[in-house]
Amino acid sequence: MKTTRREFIPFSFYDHTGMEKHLEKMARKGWMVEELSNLGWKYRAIEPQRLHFYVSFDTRASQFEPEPTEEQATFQEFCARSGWKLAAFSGQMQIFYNEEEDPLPIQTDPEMEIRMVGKLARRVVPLYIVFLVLGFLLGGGWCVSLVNTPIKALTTPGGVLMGLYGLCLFLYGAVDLIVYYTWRRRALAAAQRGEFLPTKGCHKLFYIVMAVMALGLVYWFAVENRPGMRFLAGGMLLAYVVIFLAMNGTKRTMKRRKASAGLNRGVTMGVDVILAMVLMGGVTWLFFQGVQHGVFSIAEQIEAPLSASDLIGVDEEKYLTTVSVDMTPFLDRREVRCRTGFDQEELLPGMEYTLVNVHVPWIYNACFRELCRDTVVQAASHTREMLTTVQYEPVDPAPWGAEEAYQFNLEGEFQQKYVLCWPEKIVQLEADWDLTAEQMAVVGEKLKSA
Amino acid sequence: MPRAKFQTLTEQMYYVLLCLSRENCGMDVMDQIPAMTNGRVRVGPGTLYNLLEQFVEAEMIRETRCEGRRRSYILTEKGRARLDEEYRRICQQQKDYEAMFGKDGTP
Repeated sequence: MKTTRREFIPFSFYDHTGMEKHLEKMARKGWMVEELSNLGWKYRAIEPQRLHFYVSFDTRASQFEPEPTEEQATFQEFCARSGWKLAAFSGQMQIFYNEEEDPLPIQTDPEMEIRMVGKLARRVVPLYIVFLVLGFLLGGGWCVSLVNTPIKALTTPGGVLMGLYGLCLFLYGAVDLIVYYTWRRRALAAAQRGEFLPTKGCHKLFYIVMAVMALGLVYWFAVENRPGMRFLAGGMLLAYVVIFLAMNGTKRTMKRRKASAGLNRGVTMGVDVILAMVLMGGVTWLFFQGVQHGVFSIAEQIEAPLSASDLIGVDEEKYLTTVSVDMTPFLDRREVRCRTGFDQEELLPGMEYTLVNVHVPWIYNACFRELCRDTVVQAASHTREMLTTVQYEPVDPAPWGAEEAYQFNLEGEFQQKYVLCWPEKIVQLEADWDLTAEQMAVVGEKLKSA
Repeated sequence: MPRAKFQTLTEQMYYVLLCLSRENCGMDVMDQIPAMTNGRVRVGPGTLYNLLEQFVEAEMIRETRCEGRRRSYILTEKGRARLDEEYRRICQQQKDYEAMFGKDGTP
């Protein structure tokens, strides 16, 4: 039979009522909390019983203290006087239990309790504000780009991941702070009437946020096609987990050996910094070694569906064709550039195109707008003219075999820039020469099926 | 907003100060208050601990003895003045009540 068990519940920092209720439930099931750490709470098996719990915060204590401080020990003696025994402690948090049926509560003044939580909040809220600003910038920036440039926003795997993490960070931070300050306002009003107001935290929202973040990571690994980037990100993630575990292990070992808080802090931070430098540096070094020796590439080796050589009939070897591919569940983007090879003496006409396969119909129009608008803005910044003088104008799609075709018009002159539309597919193409009807047909045929 | 510190004393503050009018061990106050009030007022250990700290900080009580973790305290002049002020406030409340309802509680 199991005699110990562990669990991790991300209670909100102020939610002492939630923690107390949970511990009471665990005691009824036969589990008594005995150790608190960043990795979760550890329980030992006991006879199932009805116990009362109280969670107390003391912001003066450090998480590196090997034993309760003198103030905490005195506080424990006060509590013991009315039957409250210490179950577990970790730095700023002490958990007491009482076996009596109707014990004298540890706090009998609601204002004292609000002050106790308020002191903890003063330490935690600045961190939340940093998270909120970071989350707002990352998540908000990504949302703006999702509306204006969905192709770019969705086909940058790192951007999707950071945007999602930013949104999650902002959402959780904002909700948790709102819930805390709402509780505080209502608890102060209740305290004027001499009443206590139980706290209610957001740990269920935290679970949702964690699930979304995990899904984001899975999405990133699924979408990121470059083996080198996968290695780099996976390695960094693993390094972070190792550092986190090592940091907690060092802190715990030092505490068990009764090292002073200062020594523990110094050694733990030292181990943290050294491990971070060794592991992060090691992963980065391996990444560059791998790229240098061709173990893995940071670019996709995919053939272009259409090359300039297909249209003008010169040897393909004379061209340097680069292809970059981004594949996501929402859309795929292929960017192809055909330029004269470095070893060629004669300059050949070049071509470049972006081919977008849209898998989700409701983003089709936004993708179309992005491809048209980007070129217009780019052209306007070159010519320094008003935006109205540059635009895509509808042209006959028949030569391309497309559903719709648009040609770029700069101050009344058509340029060799096109946007071609098929259902679920949009192509933006730019050539250095005037395309003939035959060449247009080849382009349409090759790209339609790509 | 929480009330300004010690602007008005709560019942628990009042009785803690009252118990410390004579030198007393902080922890013993927890038992003395229910005895003094027939169990009507009870001060939890956490509340008492915090109150003692705050009263020392506000110089309303001072530490007289320290035997291990057992610390004894006594009311200071400042604490006595604050207690007197609170007593007068309560007496004034009583007078106001009597002016309205008479001494026996009938208007």
